[in-house]
Amino acid sequence: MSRYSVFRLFREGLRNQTGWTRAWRAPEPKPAYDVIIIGGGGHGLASAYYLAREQGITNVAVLERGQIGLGNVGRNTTIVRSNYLFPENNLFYEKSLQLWEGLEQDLNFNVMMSQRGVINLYHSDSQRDAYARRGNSMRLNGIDAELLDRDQVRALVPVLDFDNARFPIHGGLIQRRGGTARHDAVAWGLARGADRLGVDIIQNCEVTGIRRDGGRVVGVETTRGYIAAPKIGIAVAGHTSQVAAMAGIRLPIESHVLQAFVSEAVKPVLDHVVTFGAGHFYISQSDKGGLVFGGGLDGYNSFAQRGTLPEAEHVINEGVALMPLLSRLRVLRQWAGVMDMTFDGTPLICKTPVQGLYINGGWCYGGFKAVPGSGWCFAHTVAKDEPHPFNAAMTIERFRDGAMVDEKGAGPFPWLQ
Amino acid sequence: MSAPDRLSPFGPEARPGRHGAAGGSPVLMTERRVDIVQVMASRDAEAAGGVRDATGLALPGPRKAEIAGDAMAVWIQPSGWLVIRPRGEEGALAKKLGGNEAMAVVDQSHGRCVLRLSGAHAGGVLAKGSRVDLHPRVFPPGSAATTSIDHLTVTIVKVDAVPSFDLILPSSFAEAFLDWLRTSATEFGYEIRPST
Amino acid sequence: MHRIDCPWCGVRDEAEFSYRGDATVKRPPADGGAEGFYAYVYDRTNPKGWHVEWWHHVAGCRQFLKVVRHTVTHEIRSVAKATDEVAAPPA
Repeated sequence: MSRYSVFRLFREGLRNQTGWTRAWRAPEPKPAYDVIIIGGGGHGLASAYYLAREQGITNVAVLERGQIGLGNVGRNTTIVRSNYLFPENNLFYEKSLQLWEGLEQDLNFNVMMSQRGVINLYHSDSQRDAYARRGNSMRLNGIDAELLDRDQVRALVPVLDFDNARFPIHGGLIQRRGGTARHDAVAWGLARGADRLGVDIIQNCEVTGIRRDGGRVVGVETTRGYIAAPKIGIAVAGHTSQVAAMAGIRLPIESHVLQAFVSEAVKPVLDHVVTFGAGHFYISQSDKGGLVFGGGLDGYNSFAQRGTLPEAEHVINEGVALMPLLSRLRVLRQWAGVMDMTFDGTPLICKTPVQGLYINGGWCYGGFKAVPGSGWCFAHTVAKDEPHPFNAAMTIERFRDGAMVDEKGAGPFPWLQ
Repeated sequence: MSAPDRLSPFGPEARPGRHGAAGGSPVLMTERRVDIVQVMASRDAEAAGGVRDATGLALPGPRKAEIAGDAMAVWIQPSGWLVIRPRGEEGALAKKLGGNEAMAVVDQSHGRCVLRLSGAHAGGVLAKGSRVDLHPRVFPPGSAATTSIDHLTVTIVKVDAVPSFDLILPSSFAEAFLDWLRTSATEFGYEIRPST
Repeated sequence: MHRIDCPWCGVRDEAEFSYRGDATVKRPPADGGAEGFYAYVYDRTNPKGWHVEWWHHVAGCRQFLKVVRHTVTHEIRSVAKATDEVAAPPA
């Protein structure tokens, strides 16, 4: 398959677009692979891509129950950033952001990476101190962060309600390298990139069982037959509990529902990603002009991929408090995804008690920004049978050992992370 | 030393007067100056006897209020009631009810307040914020329901068939609640009456 | 919108309630050991199907309720008092 380029685009323009070929193959599953990745979302595809590219393991299958890009990788609000407090998190997410910065060149695919800056607003002195601390932690780890005062935020984002009686904006913490990327383009680009390195992407292939021989995995039962592999990676966030249970593993995870919204398209009003500090709300403007926004979880276990009205109302209340012009816009679409919520808000990228079985999950609702970093670290973990230092803290055992990475300090309640 | 005079928890906007749409039958809003005591029973029957001896009121069952003239006892949760009487000497009602092993008594006269909402459209105003079915068939006089209105926890007591409702709410949120209530009542017209 | 039929208050919207998670986990005795407390705090079945869960009627009677709810359809099958024994129906 040839490279995408401006010359190719020009040539196809002259040939009435007749020369384009499939971006990735649709292979039949082979009887056996070196590694099987269960789940063809962002994390599964990135894991396969980096297994082939970084670890030299190309005899890899990605098994996807439906079609790629229809799960959470196509349902998020597209934000990429690495503005975390704890080194266990921010070094990992920074690795991911660095991979994002080179991803379009690596993949030869336009994922519309836009480093427009992510601003976390603060609304009180104590919140300013907390953000100063977070910014300092980031800078100590080599990550860009800058504390802005009220006037600096106003110069960047004049449309906010700075004088809201309850939540006046005092300033913000900006990570200028953060921003957005086109979510489903990431799935397509990674699929094409992995496919070009020899990975089989097998769609409409649901895993129905994990076969074990004593303490180690030997393969998976699927709707398209048994496929053998000595190493199996689970990357099915939203359903990690269900797939892990096939191997007899119980996890500290609950599945919850998170909604997202997009408004009708308007002229450019918002150049950055902005998060509200007095509630759980984040917003950016897509290239098509729609305002893309979301808030917190609905707050109850759910696999329904749809939320309910009280949380929708709450999110829009928050949005209007932050940005009053929202009240004049119509919401075009609203949808939801199923989130793997861990008990400390930090993911799992780790080995399991079963030899050869690895888990990449528990993404809570921060999975999208982590896609390349997670794939990179998971590929390392699967290939070497040990974690990379970036994901060394993201184990199942951390809960047993009291070594939680509780960025938010919400306690052991998945629906509050 | 006596306590200073209490200000209305409903704030400066609670001045008597007629507002909103003219004509028809306005919704009447009246702050009731009352004493409120919360009774939490460990032994319901004994507590009921104690309250009856002290006030003459029976303690009602779930979703009910026992109304006798200006006084009432309102069920708010299992083994929990609010006893309400016209305002008397500071702390007197709580003292009279007493506390013993059968029931704990907490004076809520400052913590909560009561607004009476009355008129043909009173139910229509509440329906904008309440999730409780207030139709007379299922919510006759003597009914009580604690629910959420405008993010506040409010106990609604149906007092009579006019209909009139007594709304029991946290005093510190009374001003905010009145703001919601006035907005909701504007289309019908409303009159704020002097407190009683 | 979930509508929860509170045994004390009648049918109310989910907005009056606070979700408090899996109601099938049992707190071990004080000498239950680290494994027992790990299971109690962190180990979850996370069923895709019927789930027995706590909902606290904070804006109503302030009672904890045991709700049997389906995590895919959001159908509520039963609502019981906190002290009632409720078994999870088969998936």
